[in-house]
Amino acid sequence: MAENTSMLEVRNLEKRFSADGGKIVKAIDNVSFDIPKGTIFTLLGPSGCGKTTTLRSVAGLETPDSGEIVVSGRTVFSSAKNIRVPAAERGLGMMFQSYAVWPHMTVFENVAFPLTVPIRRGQYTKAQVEQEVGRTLEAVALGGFEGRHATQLSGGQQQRLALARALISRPPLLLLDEPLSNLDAKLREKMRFELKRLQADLGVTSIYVTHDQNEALGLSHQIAVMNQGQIVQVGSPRVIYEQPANRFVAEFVGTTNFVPAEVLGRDGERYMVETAFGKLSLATPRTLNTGDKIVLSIRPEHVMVKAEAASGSNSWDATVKTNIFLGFHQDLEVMAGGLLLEARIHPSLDVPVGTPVSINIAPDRCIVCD
Amino acid sequence: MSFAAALKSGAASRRYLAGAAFMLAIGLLTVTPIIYVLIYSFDVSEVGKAYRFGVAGWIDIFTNAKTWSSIVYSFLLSIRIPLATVVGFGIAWLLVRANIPGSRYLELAFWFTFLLPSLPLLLGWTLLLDANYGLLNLALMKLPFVTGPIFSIYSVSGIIWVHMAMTSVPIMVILLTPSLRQLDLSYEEVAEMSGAGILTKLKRVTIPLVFPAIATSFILSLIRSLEAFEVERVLGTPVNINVYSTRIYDFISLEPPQFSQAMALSCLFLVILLALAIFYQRYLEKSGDRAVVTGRGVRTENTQRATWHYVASILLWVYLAITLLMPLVVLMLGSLTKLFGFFFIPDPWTLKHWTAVFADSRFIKSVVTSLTLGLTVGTVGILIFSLIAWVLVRSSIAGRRIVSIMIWLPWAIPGLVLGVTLLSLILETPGLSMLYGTVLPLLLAMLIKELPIGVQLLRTAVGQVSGQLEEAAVMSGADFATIFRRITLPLVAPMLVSVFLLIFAGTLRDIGTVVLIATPGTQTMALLMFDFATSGQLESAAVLGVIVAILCVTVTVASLRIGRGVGIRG
Repeated sequence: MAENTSMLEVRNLEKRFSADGGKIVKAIDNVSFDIPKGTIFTLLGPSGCGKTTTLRSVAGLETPDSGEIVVSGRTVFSSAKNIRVPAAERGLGMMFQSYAVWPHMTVFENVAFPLTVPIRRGQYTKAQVEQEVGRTLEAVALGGFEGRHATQLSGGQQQRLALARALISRPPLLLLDEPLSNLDAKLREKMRFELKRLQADLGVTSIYVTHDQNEALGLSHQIAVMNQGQIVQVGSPRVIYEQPANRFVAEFVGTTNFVPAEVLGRDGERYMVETAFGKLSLATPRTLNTGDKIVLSIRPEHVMVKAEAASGSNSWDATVKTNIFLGFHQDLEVMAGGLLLEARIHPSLDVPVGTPVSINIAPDRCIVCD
Repeated sequence: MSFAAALKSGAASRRYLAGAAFMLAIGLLTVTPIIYVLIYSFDVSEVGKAYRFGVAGWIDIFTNAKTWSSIVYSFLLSIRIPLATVVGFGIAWLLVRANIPGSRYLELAFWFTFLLPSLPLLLGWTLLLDANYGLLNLALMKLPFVTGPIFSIYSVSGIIWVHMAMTSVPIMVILLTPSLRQLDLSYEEVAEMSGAGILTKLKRVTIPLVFPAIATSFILSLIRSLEAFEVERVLGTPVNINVYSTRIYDFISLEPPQFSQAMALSCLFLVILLALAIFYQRYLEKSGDRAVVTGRGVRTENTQRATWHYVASILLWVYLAITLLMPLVVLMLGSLTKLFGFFFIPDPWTLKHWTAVFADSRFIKSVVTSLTLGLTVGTVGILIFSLIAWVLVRSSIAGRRIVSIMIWLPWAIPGLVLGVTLLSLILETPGLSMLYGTVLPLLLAMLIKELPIGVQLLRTAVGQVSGQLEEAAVMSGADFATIFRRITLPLVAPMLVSVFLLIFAGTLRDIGTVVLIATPGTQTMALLMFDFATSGQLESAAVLGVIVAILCVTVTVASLRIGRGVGIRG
C-alpha cells in the first residue's frame, strides 16, 4: 500500500485565479506527486511557477479548487469528499522565507509556542515543554540562547530558531519555503550542509521550495521541476541534471548549450546528425527519424577543449572567444562553425583569447530535447 | 555638489548651520505659539494694556469650580477612547485579516465618515435622539412598556455616542488598518501552522505585534479627544457640561476676555500632554524597535469564507447605516422642514431655507473662502510637509531629533488657543497687522494645525522609498530640486494625495482653530454653519451641512480617483 511508504500524497491539485481582465489563470495545474518517508522533496522553478502555492496548499494556508492532499495516510484536503482540515489542525511544521521569528518573544517563547497552543493543552507539562525546547534548540546548535530576545540573534541564528520552532512538535512533514534565500552566499552554503545533516539526523520528511538550482541539486532526494503551474519533470538530482526532459528543464537547471541539428540517419546504435559545426554522432534512448529537426542540450563541462587540431569523430576545430578564469575552473566561449559554445575546462589549460583549439563532445553527453 | 549630497556628507559646521536654520524655521511655526501661551498665562493686564505680571490666571484654574468641573468632564468624556480602541481594532482586523465580503467598500465608508465635518452629522443626531422630538425616541415610544424618551442626546452619554460614531471609531479603523496590513503575514501563518486557533493567534501574536501601533493610535486619539470642541459646545453647554476646550472658548469670548485664565488652562493641558508624551516615549524605548512592518506575504486569496464572515459583514453594514447613513438622511430631511425637527406638523415641508441660504451673500463668500483655504492649505501643505519630511528622513543635519519632537507641538495646544495666539502675534507684530481681515492668518493657522499629521505621514512614506533611488538620480547629475520633483514626490504620490485629502477635509471642517481669527469677510462654511447652529437657525445650518457633506464626498471621491491614477491600491 502506498500509505505505508508515502508521507505525502498530492493528487490532481488545481488552483485557479482570475487575473486582470477576468482571464482565468491556473496557478497550479493538475499537480500530483508522492513523497516517500524520510526524504527531501524539492519543488524547483522560476517565480510564479506555482511552487509556493502548492506548498501553501499542503500547509493549509491556501485552499485549492480541486484535488486531494494526504499526509501520512490522513486526508487533509479533498475536494471530492469535501474535506478541508484547517492549517492549525494539520500538525505540520513550516519554515518561512522571512523566518517570521516573533520579535516580541524570547528564543524560548518562540520555540515553545507550538507546544503551548490550546489544541495541545494538557499534552505537555511545563517541565516537558522545557525539556523539549532544550532538546530542539540543542539540535540546531542554539542551546543556551533560551533567554535571548529573538531580535538579538543574527540572520543564521534566526533561521535555526525558525527551524527549531517548526520541528518541536515532531511534525510528520516539514515544509520549507525558500528558507535560505535571505542569507548571504557564504552562510547559505554552510546552512545547506547543516539542513541536510539535520534532516538526515532527524529523518523528518521535508518538502522544500526554491528557485535556486544549486540548493535543489544539493539538498534533495527528489526534485520536481515546475513551470506555469505544472510539474514538468520529477527525478533524482542526477536524472534532472543529466537527462532533462525538455528544453525548459535543461535551461533552468544548470547552464547549457543549445545546438540545433538535423537527423541524417541511423548509424548502428547511434544517430548521425548535422550541426552548424559539422557532423555529430549521437547516442540517445529516443527514436529519431531521418530529416527530424531537433535541439541538442550540451552542458559546458562536456565540451572538451584541447589545444590541438581536431582529429577523429565528434571533434571539431574552434577558436577561443572569451576566457573567464575563476580559479577552480575556467569558463570559455568558443566559436565553432559560426556557433558560440560555452565550455568549462580545467584551470591548468592555458588558452588565451584567439587560440585555435579543438572541441570534443562524447556522443552520450548530447541530450535531445524537443 | 548637490544639496542632498551637501547635507549628507557636508562638513560638521555646515551640518550644524543647516540644522540650526531648519530648527529655527520649524520652531518659528511650532514653538512660538507655545512660548506665547506660557508668557501670557502670567499677564493679568486688561486687553490692550501693557504686560503686567501676575498669577491670577493660574490661581483661578485651581480655585474656580467651573474650571475644575470642565477638567473632570474632559477626562470623563475621554473614556470613549479605550472603548473606540477595542471596537476599532476589531473592525480593522475584520477588514484586513478576516477577508469579509465587501471589506474594501466598508473601509472607504469609514474614511468617508472620518472626513465628514462633525457639525452636520451632529445636527442629524440631535434630530434622532433629542429627548423631546428625536425621531428614534418618538419611534420607541410607540412600543408598549416605553413611556418616556429613552435617549437624551444632551448628556455625557450622548456626547460620547456622537463622538464614537463620528470620529473615535473611524479614526481608530483608519489608523489601525494600515499597520495590520503591513504586518508580515507569515508571523500569523507560523502561529497557524503551530496549531494556534484564531483567538490564540490574536492574543499571542497579532495584538502583541501591532501593540505599538495600537498605543500610538490610542495616545493620538486621546490628545485629539481632549481638544474636541463643537460637539461639546452644542450638546454640553445647554446642560452645563463644560469641557476644557469650551471653557477656554468662554474665557476668550467673555467681555472683557480673560486671556490669562485661558492661557493658564492651556498650559495645564500642555503639562498633561507632556506627561503622555514622556510615558509614550518610555514605552517606545522599552518595547524596542521591532522591525516587523515589511508588508510582505500577501495572501493571494484568502481561505474559504464561513457563515460568520457574512454575518460580520452584514453587522458592519448595519453599523454604518446607523452611524453614518441615518443621521445624514435625517439631516437632509431636516433641511427641508419648516421648523427644524418637526416632521409631523401639518404640511411640514418647505424649500425656503434652501433658497434663503443661496440668497444669503455670506453663503457665497463662505464657499469661496472655504475652497480657497482648503485648496491652498492642501497644496502648500503637501509641498512644505514633504520637504520637512525629506529633511528628517534623508539628511544628516544636526538636531533632527529635536525637530521631530517640535513638529508635534501644534497638537499640544488646542486649536482655539492656537488661533488666539496667532491673532495676537499678527496684531502685535509691526508690519503684520495689515494681514488681519485677510485669509492669510487662517491659512497660516491651518498649516500649523495640520503640520504634525502631514509631516508624520509623509515621513513614513519617504522612509519607505529606498535612498538608492535618489542616489541613482544624483549619479545621473540631477540637482536637489530635480530629484525632489521628479523622483521623490512621484514615488510618494499616493501618500501626497492622502495627505492633501486629510488637510483639505480638515480645513473644511475646522471650527476651533479659525473661529476666533476669521473676520466676517473671511468666514468659512463651517463657521457660518456654526453661527447658524449656535444662534438657533438650525434649518439653515442643516442646509449648509448638507452642502458641506456633498462637497466633502465630491472631493473625497475625486481625490481617490486621482489617487488611484497615481497608484493608490491599484
